[in-house]
Amino acid sequence: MTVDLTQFHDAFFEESFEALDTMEAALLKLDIGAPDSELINTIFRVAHSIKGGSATFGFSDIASFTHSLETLLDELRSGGMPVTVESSDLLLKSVDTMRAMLRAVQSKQPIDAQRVSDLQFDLEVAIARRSKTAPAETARAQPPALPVPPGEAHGDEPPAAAERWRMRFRPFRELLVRGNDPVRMLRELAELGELAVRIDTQALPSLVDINPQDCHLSWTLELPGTVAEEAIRQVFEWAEGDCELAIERVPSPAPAAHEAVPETAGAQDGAGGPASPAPPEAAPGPAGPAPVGAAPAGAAPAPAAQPRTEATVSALGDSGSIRVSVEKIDELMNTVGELVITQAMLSQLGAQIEGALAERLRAGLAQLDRNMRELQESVMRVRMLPISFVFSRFPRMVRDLAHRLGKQIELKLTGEQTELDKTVLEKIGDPLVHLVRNCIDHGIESPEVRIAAGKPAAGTVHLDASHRGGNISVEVSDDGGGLDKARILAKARSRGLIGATETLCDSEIHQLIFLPGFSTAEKTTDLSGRGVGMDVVRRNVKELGGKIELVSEPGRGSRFTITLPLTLAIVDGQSVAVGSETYIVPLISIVESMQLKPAGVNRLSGQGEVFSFRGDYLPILRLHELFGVEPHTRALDEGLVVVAEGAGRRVGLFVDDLLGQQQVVIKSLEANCGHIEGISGATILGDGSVALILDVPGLIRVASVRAAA
Amino acid sequence: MKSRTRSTPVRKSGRGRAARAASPPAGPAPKSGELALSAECTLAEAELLKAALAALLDEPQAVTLDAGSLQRIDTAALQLLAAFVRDRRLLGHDTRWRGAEPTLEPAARLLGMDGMLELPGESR
Repeated sequence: MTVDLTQFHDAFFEESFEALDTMEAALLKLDIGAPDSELINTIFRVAHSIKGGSATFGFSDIASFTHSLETLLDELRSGGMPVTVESSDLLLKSVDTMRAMLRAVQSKQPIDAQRVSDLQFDLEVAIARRSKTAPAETARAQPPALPVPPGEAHGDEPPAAAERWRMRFRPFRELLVRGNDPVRMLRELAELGELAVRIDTQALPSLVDINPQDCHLSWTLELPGTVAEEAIRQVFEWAEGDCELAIERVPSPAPAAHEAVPETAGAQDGAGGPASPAPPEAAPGPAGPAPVGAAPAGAAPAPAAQPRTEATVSALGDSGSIRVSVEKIDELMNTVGELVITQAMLSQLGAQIEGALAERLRAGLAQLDRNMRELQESVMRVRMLPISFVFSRFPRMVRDLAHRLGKQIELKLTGEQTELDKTVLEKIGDPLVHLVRNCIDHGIESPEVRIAAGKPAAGTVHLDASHRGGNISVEVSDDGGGLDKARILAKARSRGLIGATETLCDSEIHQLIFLPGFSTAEKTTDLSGRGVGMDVVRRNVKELGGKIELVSEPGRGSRFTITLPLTLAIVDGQSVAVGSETYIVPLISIVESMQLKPAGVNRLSGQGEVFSFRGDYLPILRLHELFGVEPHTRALDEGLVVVAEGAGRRVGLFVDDLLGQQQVVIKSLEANCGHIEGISGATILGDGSVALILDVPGLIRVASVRAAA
Repeated sequence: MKSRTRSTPVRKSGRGRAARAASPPAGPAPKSGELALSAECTLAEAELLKAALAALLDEPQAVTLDAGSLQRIDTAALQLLAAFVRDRRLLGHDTRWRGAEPTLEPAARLLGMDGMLELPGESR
């Protein structure tokens, strides 16, 4: 029987690209001179698994290249070769090359053989140079002897760290009927290394109550740290979704037991194979369900695990997760959106019903509302990804750019765990890249200039993400020279963007850099300075419903702040009535709602109607006039004014009445009707009618245009 | 301990399946206080095994479980056996094993339930 392996190609590519990202991140964290052995192991594991995968699928070029890479990594991890800037560069280049090879194979394009063989040659030269010169040193630098896991197949796994894998394996009841058998799985684990097992039978009911089809057991397992995580995960691969699995690295109290743990001893015979005549009695070991990790006393104390190792691993490793296609999630999201509409319809109906059962119906509807909200939040969370997915590309980029520009740059990343919607995340990557490039290219000065200015030679670029209300804010700041206002002004004048005598305030000058075709770079580099960039950044951010702000201080640096909505799909809205129409005002834009007294309203020339609001005069925008709707009332004291805020300005929206608050699913109008200023979309109301969702910043723009007219 | 192992010839799995189809997995007509596990003790036979074990649960005499013919056992069967031994212990009744070494013991050990099953090896 032949198995069609091509069906696994996609998964292999996807996993390999992710693994390369991990490898790259680990390489960038690698300290020259004093490398963290766990990081080297991580890097090694990636090369090893890609080599294995590509060999399996017959991608011989990749397998051959990764083999050379693996040999070099083996030298590094055994201490036979120091981690230098050169070797680290070589490894980073290898990551790029492997990525390129995988991409080529994936798209069925020819591999750039020259590039590959050049680099492979470099790798081999490095290896050859090494093995000629330092056998003595190699021996000295070898890690202390550690138990070798049984089975030659695993002889090439990373060396033992003073750590163990701990797996908490909690099968769901249906694990067995889905064809998974822990006996088989644990046997496979025992084949990877000395397996320590502790069973938890707390949940095992009495015999008469057991449903024989259900699994009532769970386990805590430990394997030596030498075992590749991937090998462990492979064992649990088929049980994914049928169990809870947590794999973590724990420091070992002492080197792994030298005596074989009994579990291993009998494992090879297995329960399913032909009965072995020799029972594994010879294997001594802790009797019964010994506490996992217990090791014989008197063993040499383990070298203290470096505290940062665990953090590194948790940052790099992935926790129990399943791969779900984006389409499936989008489908789910759509269904939830429809449910929200149905629910709104039911609540509307429920509010009108009278009679004995009405109260109970309303109680049920209130519960439905709560559950809906939770469901919606959960589904949204599924789509949410930490911004570290975007941030992770920067360490490499900053390193390369700094290298090329001869600048010293420290990259600081904070708030990497801040989550945002995947669609937003995908679109924010490129703008951020532009901003960071700009900071490095234009912002941070050369070391000499910085020292002369009394600043540390290394500049800092800081990326920070945080949640603020219903928005996410991403800041890109640097401690460089700040924007050169004089040069920006001169440039703008020479380009005719502003008049020769026109004077601008600071923030207006800053806005100039967002204009298309604007660049003050003295020489054009391929990094930035081609005049495309900042305008694209602003456009992308605006397309996401966000905004970008800039603060800059000469000599102290600049800070770009991008504010984005968390999601683009659902909005909390206040429905308002204007005549027979209903409009939705996003709750986030509403400051408050009030009834006006005619005495508080003035008519100013050039501003139309204004009213006094907390010491400020706000323009009144009559929605019925704007949208050409016949209102129930035109008298300001008979209707209501909704004070809304957008783009840093406020406006009073005059409406007939407030109807209620509800979550609405945004349906785009632009696809069918084009962009309408002041309208961000439409939604379907509970009664099936369509309501327009107001875009407050757009309305404010409309209001100012009308006032000026 | 070895001498206690019954020298039942290992049944071929084909025959084992045939036998299973015709009779409960616990083997034909068990003697009182004894239960011979059939060659295959897996999820498919778990209902029958449970019934056979449940019938012996309250047996005040020591019950001997004979695993001499066992060729394959999985988690579903092992957890029934573990519950059986535990429940009998709670009732103050003894359970003994025969022929557990070749197949049952390694599997039980893998799952970490050798202690719970009171396998003879545990007396060491």
